[in-house]
Amino acid sequence: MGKSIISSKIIILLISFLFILISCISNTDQTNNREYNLFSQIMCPICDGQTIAESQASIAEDMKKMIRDQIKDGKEDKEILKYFEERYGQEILSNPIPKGFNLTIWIAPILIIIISSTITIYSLRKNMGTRSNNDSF
Amino acid sequence: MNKLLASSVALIIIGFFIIIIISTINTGGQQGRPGLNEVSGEVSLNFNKFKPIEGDDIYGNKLTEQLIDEELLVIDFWASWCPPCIQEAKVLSDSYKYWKDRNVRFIGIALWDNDKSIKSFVEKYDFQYDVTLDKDGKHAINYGVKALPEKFFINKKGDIVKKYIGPIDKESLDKIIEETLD
Amino acid sequence: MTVSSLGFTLLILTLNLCLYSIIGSLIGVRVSSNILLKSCKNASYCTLITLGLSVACLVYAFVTRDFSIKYVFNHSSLSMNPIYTWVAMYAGNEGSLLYIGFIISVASFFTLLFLPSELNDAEPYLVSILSGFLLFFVGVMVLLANPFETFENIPKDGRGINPLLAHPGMFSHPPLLMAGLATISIPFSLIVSMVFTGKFRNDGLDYVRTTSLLVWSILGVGLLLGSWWAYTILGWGGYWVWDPIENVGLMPWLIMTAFIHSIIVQRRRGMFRVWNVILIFLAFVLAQFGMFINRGGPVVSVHSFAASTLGYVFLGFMIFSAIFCLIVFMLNSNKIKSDNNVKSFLSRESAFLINNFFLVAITFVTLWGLIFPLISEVFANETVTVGAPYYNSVNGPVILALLFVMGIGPNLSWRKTSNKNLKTNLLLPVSLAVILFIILLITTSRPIMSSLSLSVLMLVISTILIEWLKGSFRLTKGGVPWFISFFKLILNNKNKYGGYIVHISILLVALGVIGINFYQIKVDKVISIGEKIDIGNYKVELIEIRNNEFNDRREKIATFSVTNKEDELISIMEGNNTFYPSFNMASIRAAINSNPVEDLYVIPSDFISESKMKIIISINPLVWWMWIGGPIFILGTLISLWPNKLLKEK
Repeated sequence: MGKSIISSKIIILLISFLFILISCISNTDQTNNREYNLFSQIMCPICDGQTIAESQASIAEDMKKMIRDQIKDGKEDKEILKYFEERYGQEILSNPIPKGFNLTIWIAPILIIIISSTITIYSLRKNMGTRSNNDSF
Repeated sequence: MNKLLASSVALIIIGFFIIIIISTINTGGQQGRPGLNEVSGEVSLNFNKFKPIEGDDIYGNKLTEQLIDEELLVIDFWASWCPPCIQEAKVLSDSYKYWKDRNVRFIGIALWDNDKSIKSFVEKYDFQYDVTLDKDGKHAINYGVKALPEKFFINKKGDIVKKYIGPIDKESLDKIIEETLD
Repeated sequence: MTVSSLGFTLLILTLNLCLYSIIGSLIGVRVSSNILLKSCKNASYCTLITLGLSVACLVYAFVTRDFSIKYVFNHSSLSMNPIYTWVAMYAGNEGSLLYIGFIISVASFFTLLFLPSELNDAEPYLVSILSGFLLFFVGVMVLLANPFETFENIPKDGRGINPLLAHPGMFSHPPLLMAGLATISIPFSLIVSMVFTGKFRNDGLDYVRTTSLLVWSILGVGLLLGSWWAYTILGWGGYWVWDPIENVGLMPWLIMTAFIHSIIVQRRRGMFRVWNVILIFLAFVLAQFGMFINRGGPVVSVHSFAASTLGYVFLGFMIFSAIFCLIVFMLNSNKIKSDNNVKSFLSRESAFLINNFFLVAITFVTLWGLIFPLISEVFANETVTVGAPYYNSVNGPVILALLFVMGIGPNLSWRKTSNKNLKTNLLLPVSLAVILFIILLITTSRPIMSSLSLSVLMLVISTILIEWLKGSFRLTKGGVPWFISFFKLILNNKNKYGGYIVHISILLVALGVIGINFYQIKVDKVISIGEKIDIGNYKVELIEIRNNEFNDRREKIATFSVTNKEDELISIMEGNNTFYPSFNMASIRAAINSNPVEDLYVIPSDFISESKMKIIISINPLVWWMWIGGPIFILGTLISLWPNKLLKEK
């Protein structure tokens, strides 16, 4: 009997927590933020590791203005990014273009994670059940 | 199996260090002030087609559009507040006076600047070539300018032949112009 | 004698003390001379005094504005707020080295002072390794980066501190982060000396755990404070941008996290010995990598020390420490075998293993992203930038999996768990998580990842709470009120519940991260005085723009009033944009109205005219929880660290 009271208390507490969480976040709906998405894909050339979205340097402000103008002219996101890449080289983009050698950036970690996890599981399997002498308590 | 694993891990670690060493040597372990090219030298180009420069110069005259009729066009991105640009101002002013009769044209594009300080700078160093204020950095972005000063050398065909960053000295400037004119 | 020469003399003295205690300890072990060993230990204690005085000299020079010292000239000025002169000593390269040296000597002092008697025969090695580490920093200062270098002609005024550093965060984030990175040397040298003496068994393992927990929490709090600083003040609109400098601080922390988990397994089950040694070596080398990247490494970052030429020295030291670790490991690998193996995939130890695996994986992914631009430059001859999208997309799922293990792990028992047990323990949390997932999937149009991560969070929080509540209700049966039994439970098993509290704090940080990553609203707007902008449930109105001119800066302050949809005032908030002409740099402070549900965040990015300005407004849901996570994190660590003896005496 006592046990069921305990678990019902827990359930009530957790469920109320769940609903608080949901009410916190579901009232905001997504706004389309094309401008900002573009800004965060272009690095500020003079700011060492900041995108123009984060930077207030004059060149970053100018780039933002240029992107807004290009959006007004009806350019696609791809064209805009291409425009900057042609002029500043690939390093202006905050994410490498997924082709050629750049693919290794995604492939290498995934590959290594897969390989090392297989090795770990394999060696665990092999050792499981052997050498149990110390395990006597 | 264990040996294979150990040696591959060792290989990765060694590779990591080699990469780090090479890149440290490449950068020389030093960086300059942001936005300014304090070290000079020719750098590789990201693109090589001339992009037209339209607009008015600081006195309100239209910049002629047929810039590349000349044998050689030198576009200089600079600013009156930029120390390396001040350093090279006299060189530019003098060498233009020397080269202008040989169909070499200079254009100065000032960035993040105002009319007043540009004018007083131009008068102080007696720039006889066209100088324009780049509003909103349009030309600079169009040319992929990162820091000041940067120069582009454009031949008659409209190809950008060379890009030079940082303050230039007389010898380098003359050498590049001579090479391009040939 | 001037302050500068006194400070430098003290540095040279420290250098000699270090040399003496390294060589002396090694000879002392050879000839087993206890007097020599004792004297070396005392020499190591003395570095605390000499370096402490040296730090005092530099601080004194800053406070009295002694511009005859180059370092003081470069990092302070007459117009700077006096309070920052007390902390300006670690604003630059040379001074921060001095600070790090001082921290190492403090940490070594306490490590040696409280060294348990089981580790007595490891002590000489410990003294020499710690002194060797200190020697490097002191040596660099004496030979290459002297903080006490003077001018012949004394300038009237200094250059001033980097404006981005003149902020309350300066008192906490840099000192903690540097201290955390430097003191990884403590558990590292403890383990190396234990390995040397062939004693890497259970003796003294508690001491290793205590020191690593301390180091780990200092580093963790330092990172979180940096994140908070970047969020509130720099106005970069981000708490974490995967900047190289942030990453090199994060990586050792991740490895240390793995270490403090797997050391539990070693203590309980005598397993993972080799792995633990590898982890601590890795953490140490990564910390040296961090120092290197910070001081003239090949990677550009917003926060690295400007134009440092010490890159090669720190590179050399990092390679040296890696080779040192490798040699120590190879020579002693036969001494550090484990007693046991993992018995079942469904066991506590395998959960720890998986946790370690994910933590190392995150570290690897981060390191790979950090050095990929260098690799690409060398092999493909192309400069690329690796920004936040890569880290988020690759690390995101791994972190989520890690959180999942964090939820399941505590429900697994050592050696082998029965399926039935697992089912009863996980039934409620899993069903709650599934319900949440379904509700979110129906009600929102966000990417599936957001719903998934919130559900995982739900799962983990509910498993921890259930475990906890069950325990405290069980204790209640004796008639004790439940809240008393709740605290009693913590005291009964401090390690376990301290750990749970830390887990909860990590979950709160994760909640903030999920909120800002998946549910943020952000707009760029131009606003004039009197104009109102609608965003979310708020209306933001620009009330006024004020200008303040100072000697060294131009301050522009914008005042906003925030009302809800019914035009009831919620708050008045201020953001400022301060320009420092001598640095050609602006420091921006965002206007923030924070509550547990969401932050209204306004960045005054540019002032167009007297009545018009550009702002970036965003609504960042749940970020409040992230900063609450900090104190809870500290609380949890303290509970785990609190010594049992003290409690018994009470």
